[in-house]
Amino acid sequence: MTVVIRFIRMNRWEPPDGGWLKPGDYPADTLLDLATSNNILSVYYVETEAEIERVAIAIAANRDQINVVDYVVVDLSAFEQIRVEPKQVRGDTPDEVVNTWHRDLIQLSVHRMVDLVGVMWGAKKKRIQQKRVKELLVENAVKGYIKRGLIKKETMQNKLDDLLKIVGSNWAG
Amino acid sequence: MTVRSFAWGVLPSQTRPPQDRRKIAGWWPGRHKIGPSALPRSLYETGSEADLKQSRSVPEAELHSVVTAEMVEPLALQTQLGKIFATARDEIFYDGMESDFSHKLVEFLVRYGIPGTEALIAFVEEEGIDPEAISEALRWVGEINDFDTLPSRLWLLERSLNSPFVSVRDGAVIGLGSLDNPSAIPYVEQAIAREKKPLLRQDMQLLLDQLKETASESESR
Repeated sequence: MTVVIRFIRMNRWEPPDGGWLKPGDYPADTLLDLATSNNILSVYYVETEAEIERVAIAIAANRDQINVVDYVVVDLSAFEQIRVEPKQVRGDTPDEVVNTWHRDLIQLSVHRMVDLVGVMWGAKKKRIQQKRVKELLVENAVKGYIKRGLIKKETMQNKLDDLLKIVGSNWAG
Repeated sequence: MTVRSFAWGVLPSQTRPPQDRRKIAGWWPGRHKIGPSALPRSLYETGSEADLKQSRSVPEAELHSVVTAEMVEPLALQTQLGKIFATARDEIFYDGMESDFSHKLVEFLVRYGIPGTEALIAFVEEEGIDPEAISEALRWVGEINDFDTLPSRLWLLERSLNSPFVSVRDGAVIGLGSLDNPSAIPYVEQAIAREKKPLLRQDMQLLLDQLKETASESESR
C-alpha cells in the first residue's frame, strides 16, 4: 500500500495544553512543518517500511547534524480524498533511488493546507533515534544507497567518514 | 554562582545541584577550566560522547585555556545568554539544521565550560524564555563533546524532563538521546510515568529502550 511521508518536528503535533483548541481545529505550529514555496510542498511516496527508513536516512544525510528524524505517515487514499495534486519531481537527496520517490504537492491554497494538516493530524507519527540514524547512515553508505559525492554539506561528508572509520567500513564503490 | 531552585516541579532525587553530581561522577575539585576562544567545531560535529571519545580530534591541551571561572562574572554570562536567546526570536528551527542561535549557544558553552553550563541552567529557569528556544538549546546541549561539563549537561537535561512545556521535554529527550548515558534511565522512567502527551511518551520509551541497550552493551564489554 502506498503511503505518503512528510518530515516534521514531533512536538508541534502534540495536542496543546489548556483546552483552548476546539474539536476539528489544529495548532498553528503544525504549519511550521508544512512551509510551502511557490505553493508547493515536498513529500515522498513509498510502499514499505524499509522504503520509509531509506527516505528518512537520505533526508538525514542532507542535514547539518546527525539527529533524530521525525515523520508522519499518511495513507495515499487519505491524500486522494482531499484532492491534492501530486507531481513527480526528482528529489534532491544523496540517494538517487529515494529521489525517484519524491513528489511535489502543487497548487496548494490555504484551504487545502488546512485539509492537509487535518489528514496529517490523525496520521501515524514516528521517530528514528539519533543512534539508529547513525547506524543506518553507515549501513546505507556501505550499501551504496547514499553517495558521498551527492551529500551537499562537507561537514556531513566528514561525519560519515568518521563513522565509517569507527566501524572499520568504507563507502561503496 | 548560585543555582536557584528549579521552577519546573522537581523530584527529590533531582534537587541536588550539579556540584554534587560532579562528586558522584568523580569530579575533581578546584578551579573551573574554560575552553578556547576559537571554537573547535569538531567538539560538536561528530556525535555522541562515546563516538567522540573514540574520534576526538582536538587534543586535551587545546580544550582548556588558563582562564578560570573566577575570572568570569556570572552576570556577564547571563547577559551573553540573553543576547544569544534574543537571536532565537526570529528563527524557525528544524531538526538537524544549524542556526545562528545554535552556533552562538554552542560557542558559548564550549568557551565557558562549567560556569557557562551553570549559567544556562539558571537562565532557562527565568520566566518568559521562549520554550522553543530552550528546546533547541537542549538538543545542542546533548551534542557538545566536553567531558568536563557532562555532569552539568546531563543534570540540565534530566531536570528539563519535568518542564511544563512539551517542546522543552522533547528537547530534553533528544539531548539525552545524543548523550546516550544510561545514568539517565531512572529519570526517563519517572518521566514516562508522568507523561500525558502520547507522542512524547512514545519517544521517551524509545529513549529508554536505547539507554537500556547502551547499558547492556557496556556491561557485556
